[in-house]
Amino acid sequence: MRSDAAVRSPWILHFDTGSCNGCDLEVWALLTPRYDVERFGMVNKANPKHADVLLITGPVSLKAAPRLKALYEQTPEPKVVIACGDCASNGVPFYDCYNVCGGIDQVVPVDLYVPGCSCRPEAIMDAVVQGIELWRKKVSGQ
Amino acid sequence: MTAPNEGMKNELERMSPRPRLIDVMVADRRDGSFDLVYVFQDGHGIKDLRCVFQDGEELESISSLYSGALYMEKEAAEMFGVRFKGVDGLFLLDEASPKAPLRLPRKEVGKDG
Amino acid sequence: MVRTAIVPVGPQHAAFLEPFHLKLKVEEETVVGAEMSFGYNHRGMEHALAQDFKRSQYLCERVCGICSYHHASAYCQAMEDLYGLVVPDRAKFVRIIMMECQRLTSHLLALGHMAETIGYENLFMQFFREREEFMMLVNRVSGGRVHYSMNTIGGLRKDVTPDQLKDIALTVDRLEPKLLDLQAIVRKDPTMRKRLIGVGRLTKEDALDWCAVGPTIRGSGLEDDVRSHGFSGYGLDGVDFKPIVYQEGDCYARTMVRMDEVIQSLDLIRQALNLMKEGEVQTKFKGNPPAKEGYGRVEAPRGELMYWVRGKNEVQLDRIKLRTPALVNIPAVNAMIRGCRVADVPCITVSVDPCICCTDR
Repeated sequence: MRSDAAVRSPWILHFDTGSCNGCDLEVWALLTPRYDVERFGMVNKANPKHADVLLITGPVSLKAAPRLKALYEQTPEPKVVIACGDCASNGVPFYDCYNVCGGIDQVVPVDLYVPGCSCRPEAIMDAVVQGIELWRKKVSGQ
Repeated sequence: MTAPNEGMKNELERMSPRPRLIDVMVADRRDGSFDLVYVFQDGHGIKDLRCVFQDGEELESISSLYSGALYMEKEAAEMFGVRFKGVDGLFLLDEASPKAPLRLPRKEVGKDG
Repeated sequence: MVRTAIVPVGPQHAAFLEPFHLKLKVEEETVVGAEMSFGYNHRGMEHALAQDFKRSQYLCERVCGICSYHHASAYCQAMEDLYGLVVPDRAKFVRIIMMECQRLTSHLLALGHMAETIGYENLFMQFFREREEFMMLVNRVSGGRVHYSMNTIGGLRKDVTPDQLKDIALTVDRLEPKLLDLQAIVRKDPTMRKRLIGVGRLTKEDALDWCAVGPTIRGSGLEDDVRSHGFSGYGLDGVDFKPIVYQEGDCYARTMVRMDEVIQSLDLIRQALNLMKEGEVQTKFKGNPPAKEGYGRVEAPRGELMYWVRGKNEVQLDRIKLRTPALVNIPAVNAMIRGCRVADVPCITVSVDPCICCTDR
């Protein structure tokens, strides 16, 4: 039953927690003709209740942190969280800003980290493809 | 008691044609007083009106002249912990954020800072 | 009797790229008012930028990724004003070229976003296909797709090579027919016209009242463009620039301003390429920023972007203030939204090209 579910394509939820928009642009580039992540069966959906893969950008501002937590909790298990960009991974360009938590993993558990400021679409695509594998494994209970 | 920026507000009101307001800025002078600067478009350049006010003084809001100034004043009020008449509520900061984050540490008395 | 209901939109919503919360007051289908809340993207950039004026050259690009080069240029102009530096002409022309390239990517993003919001997926993909070409072009010229890191206080970090300039000229020539096609689509297409004409009107008076800038006011008949005031290279001899103005003030006018500016940007890039001469690209300076003040203004894709800096003879700056275009444009939605239908709200919001990371900093 669970492995049957893994046949379907995972859906993405993209959420910006205070990034500079650079990585968000690249996430959008990913969904459009040149990179076209849809060929791996991924579609961007704005509803966390339909999502399987969370693409999170930004260093998590203090105001966005509770919202990120809520989104994470609303997403059904199994789920994969991808932190896009340097600031999402460890908060680096914004390390001495007073209003950031510094990285997504300070708020919710992260499965994959994408390096780069801003991260290149190829790098996000690589993470997304790895994320699909990881998600399939999680679904089949391995 | 008149607010320190009352005169500036009147001057802005009298201007004709109505200039495009660019920004309302506050800067800390590090001695318990602050600068208040109104910047607006003037021909091909910009012009500013300035005044200095003490910490704790209540300022006149110009949001009755320019609706857009409300958000600029909200931001200034939040960042420096200064007060504008009729402007309150959180704008950019959250309850969890530090209060008045852009206030600089005060100069120590008797030392050159 | 009609009851007033509150409809919350956001912070995480399909129509917005970024987190931004809108509380709509509606009476049946009509919107009677809106309340906005910001701050989801507030990091505290004004504090961080004031810590080290040299690091800020890098950090100010991270205020916003869509107009990163405009931020860098505005910051450098403000510091040049403070130091009293004169930037070499060649650097000014390169700044024009890169600013216009970024305006192209930003406007094509905004137009695509608009098409997607009205449910025109096909046009959205077309805009993004052309946009990708410019992203690759700036990548070849600067080495980064989003953050160019080309500017430094006093000019450019390094000169562009003749090959790169040729590459720019060829790309502009190659893409012009495609963009003209897209312009014709936006002009004539019934989907765009029916969905956008007459929606979200902003009068001249309201535009001034809300201090709006950029395509938002140029769509309302106000001829205000910082480029025509001659900042940076735009004031140099031989650069011919006239702001694009539409009188109607609705979403369609704002969209058309962006569309026409895309074509205009191609023209400005060509002008700069033709007028450019060999020469220095950087003026050197010494020491920490003096205790003076400097203004830097550029016309970012969304409108006027202003930096105000004040030094204090230390590595730290006494104060750095950013007035980003989105901070004044998004509140102007308040004036456009009154009396519109709920279904038009995403359209109106997207028509000012909201950029939350600029607003919140």
